[in-house]
Amino acid sequence: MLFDLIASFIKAVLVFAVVMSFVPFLIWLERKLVAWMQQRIGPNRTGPFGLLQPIADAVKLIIKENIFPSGVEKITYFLAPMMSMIPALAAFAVIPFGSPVRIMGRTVNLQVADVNIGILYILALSSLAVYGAVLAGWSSNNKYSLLGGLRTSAQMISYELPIGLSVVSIVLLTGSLSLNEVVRSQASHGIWNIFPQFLGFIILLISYNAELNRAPFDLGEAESEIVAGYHTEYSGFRFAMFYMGEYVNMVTVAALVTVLFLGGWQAPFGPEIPLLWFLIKIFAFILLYMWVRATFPRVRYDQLMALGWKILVPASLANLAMTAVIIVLGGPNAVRILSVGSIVLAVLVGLVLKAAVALRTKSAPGLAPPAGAGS
Amino acid sequence: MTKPIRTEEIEVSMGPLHRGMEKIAEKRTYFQYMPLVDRFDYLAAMLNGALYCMTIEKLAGMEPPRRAEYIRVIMMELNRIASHLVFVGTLGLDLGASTPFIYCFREREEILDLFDLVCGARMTFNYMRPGGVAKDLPPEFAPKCREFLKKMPARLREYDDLLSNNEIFVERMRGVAKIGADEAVNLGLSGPTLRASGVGFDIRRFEPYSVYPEFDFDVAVREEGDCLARYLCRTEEIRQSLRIVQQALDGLPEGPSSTRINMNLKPAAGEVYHHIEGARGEMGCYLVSDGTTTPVRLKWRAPSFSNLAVLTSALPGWKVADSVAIIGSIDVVLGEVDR
Amino acid sequence: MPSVLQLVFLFFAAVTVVGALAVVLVRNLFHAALWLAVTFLSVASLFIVLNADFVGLSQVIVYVGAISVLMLFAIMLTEDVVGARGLSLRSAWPAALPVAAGVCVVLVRWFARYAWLPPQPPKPGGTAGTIGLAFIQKYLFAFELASVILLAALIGAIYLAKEERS
Repeated sequence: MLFDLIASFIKAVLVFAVVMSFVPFLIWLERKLVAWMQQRIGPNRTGPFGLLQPIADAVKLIIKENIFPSGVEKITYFLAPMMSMIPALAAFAVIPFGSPVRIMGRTVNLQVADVNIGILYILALSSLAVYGAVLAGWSSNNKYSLLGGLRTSAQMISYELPIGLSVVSIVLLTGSLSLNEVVRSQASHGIWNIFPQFLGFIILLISYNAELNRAPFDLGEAESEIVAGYHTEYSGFRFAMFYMGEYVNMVTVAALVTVLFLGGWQAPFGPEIPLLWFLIKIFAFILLYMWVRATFPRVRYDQLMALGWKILVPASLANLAMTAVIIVLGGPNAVRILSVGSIVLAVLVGLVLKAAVALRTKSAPGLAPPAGAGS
Repeated sequence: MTKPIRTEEIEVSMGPLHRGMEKIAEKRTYFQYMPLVDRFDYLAAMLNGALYCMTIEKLAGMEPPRRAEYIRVIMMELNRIASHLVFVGTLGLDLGASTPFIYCFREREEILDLFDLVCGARMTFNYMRPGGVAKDLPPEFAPKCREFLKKMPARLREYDDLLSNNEIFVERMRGVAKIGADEAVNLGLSGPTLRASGVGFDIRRFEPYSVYPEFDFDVAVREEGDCLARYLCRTEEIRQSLRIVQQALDGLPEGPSSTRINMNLKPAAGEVYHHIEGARGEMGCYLVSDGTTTPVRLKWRAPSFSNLAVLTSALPGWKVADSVAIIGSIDVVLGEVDR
Repeated sequence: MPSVLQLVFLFFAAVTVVGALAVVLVRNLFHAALWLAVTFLSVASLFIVLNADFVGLSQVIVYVGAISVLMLFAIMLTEDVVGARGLSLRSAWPAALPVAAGVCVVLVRWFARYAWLPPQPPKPGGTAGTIGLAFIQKYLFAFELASVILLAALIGAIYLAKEERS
């Protein structure tokens, strides 16, 4: 009992420390990476390769004066940044990041808490993350904050649906809501969920990008329309908390997707080194999001909503139905049928979309006749 | 949940940047005023300078040497490319894509390096002179320029990948703020903003000046009249300008690059209007001389000023988020709106 | 001497009651909606304390994460509500008091007569599977009926939204 208690405590502290220390590194990584993609140099003044830049930024933000702009609702204004960060951190509690190890003759799960409905727990906490934006938007006494809060909250609620529906498909494949079980089932199927649930993976990829409020779905903070959105009025440490919350969220989502789709801590090849493969997968996923951010312009709000409700929700419903039918009919071969089927389907859909886009954009630029007939 | 947020009415407010530039001309000699001309449309200063010099030449009735004409065309077209690059980059930035902005500025830097080589300045050049250009091209200009021309097609494909072929970008631009051909003409639009509405009017083609008739190029016209068409017209114009620069560079004649003229130029009394195809549209200069060393009146027809008028009819009814794209697609330089 | 779990239960029960009171008593509608979210959250915690983990987390997802946010949304979008004096007990208490007393009497009598189950041990695999089976076996009709009602509500919402746009 005491051993378990101490182990849990140590695990909680460790996970908290590791995730929080990821944040400055991720901020540096994103700035550096996007800079390289854009032919810039990026941070390079503080420390080697500018590695200390986020530390310098954090110090600057923390020692800044805490400002309550006039007319703000103090309590809600104070609570909002916490509400945007705490759910993301708390969600990490159920992420399994390694196979159980034996310490002092006891089996220790590399997971803060093995909740048997871990998936539901993460969905519940991510639904709480909306409150950060809502509270900040409302309490700031600023029309841009209010608009940003409204936009962000509507966006997050809308995109929770496709997320939930594609996660349910995973649950169908696994037969359990426990994240540990999800990883184990991927081991027993001998194939990562990304293959039988390829459509679900794509849907989740897009939806989580919107859920995280990252470009191209960063409508809540579109600087050309509503200044900085819900955190317009925030400065100093409170702003830093919003900023950190965003990155903690990103780590959590990456870890969740790794567990759900990429086989968790399992090695794709070679020996299974604890944590190594898990971290590699998390970073691969985060790098993908950074790449997306450097590539795409921002969508318009109605387009965002149309994408969510008219494409992603029906698509995830179709994926769910397809998964359910094939699991029932396919019996033991269900996973194989799903893998082939969903990838063929994804390729077909991709080709059709590409052709449709090409058809619409490909009207050659009209050129006036070169003969110079008078004006 | 009510209506989406739409623009209902817009009032274009001009003046905060007013510097009295046209009035200043009346107290300066023709040569003294040269450097100030660059400050009208500061993104296309070569075109400003060329227009001013051409107007003076028309007033004084002289012809610059052919080599000077060719150099002017090279400079004008390079500057047009630089200006359109800023347009492409800032439009992307306004729509939330930061990468094309940096890419475009990378290429613009190369053009500015070329200008630097020629005249020592990167923004306001003061390179054109009545009767020619300030200095002949340095020997290293031609190879560097050719290198740039060779690089550009691949770079343009990069922009296409990031913007023109990007579904998000296209979806935000297509069908937004359509301006019909009649409306465009009635509002006095010009340049790519006009040609995107299906009116193929390009002064370089239909009232040729300088040595433009000697070059083979197409006028980019699109029928749609929406933001996407205005964008695509400009990217096509970059390609056409590259063609012109290439031809001008190949056919660059030998000879003097300017004719000597009296610095205290006293054109005969009279008035003259000259216009060229600027980066943003019809750029015009109206000069009145009374035979002294200073003009009586200088009037600048700034394309951005006229194009801005379309906002009052183009913006209302569209979402606030669209206004970013609409204003961006008209490509306004405020330096020439308020002179 | 109550156990730790009982203390936790009592704590969340107290938070639920305080939150519910605050919903009724605060004047600012936005604050009332926030207190409602707090109440929902502590009710969810009560469920979890009682080993009903699935119901508890569903409560968080549906009531805290969606319904309360929608309420906050509606309040934020409604002009002149933010900061305005909402309904308070003071203006309506003569009517509210007998109604509340009546409801209280009915509930207390009903609770007193109800045959409560003895405390259940936690299910080893969680309650999700059991609840799912119950939905499609024993309570299939009620479950389908609820989905039909929701579908009707959905169609109604689409219809309303369409009307407004044209």
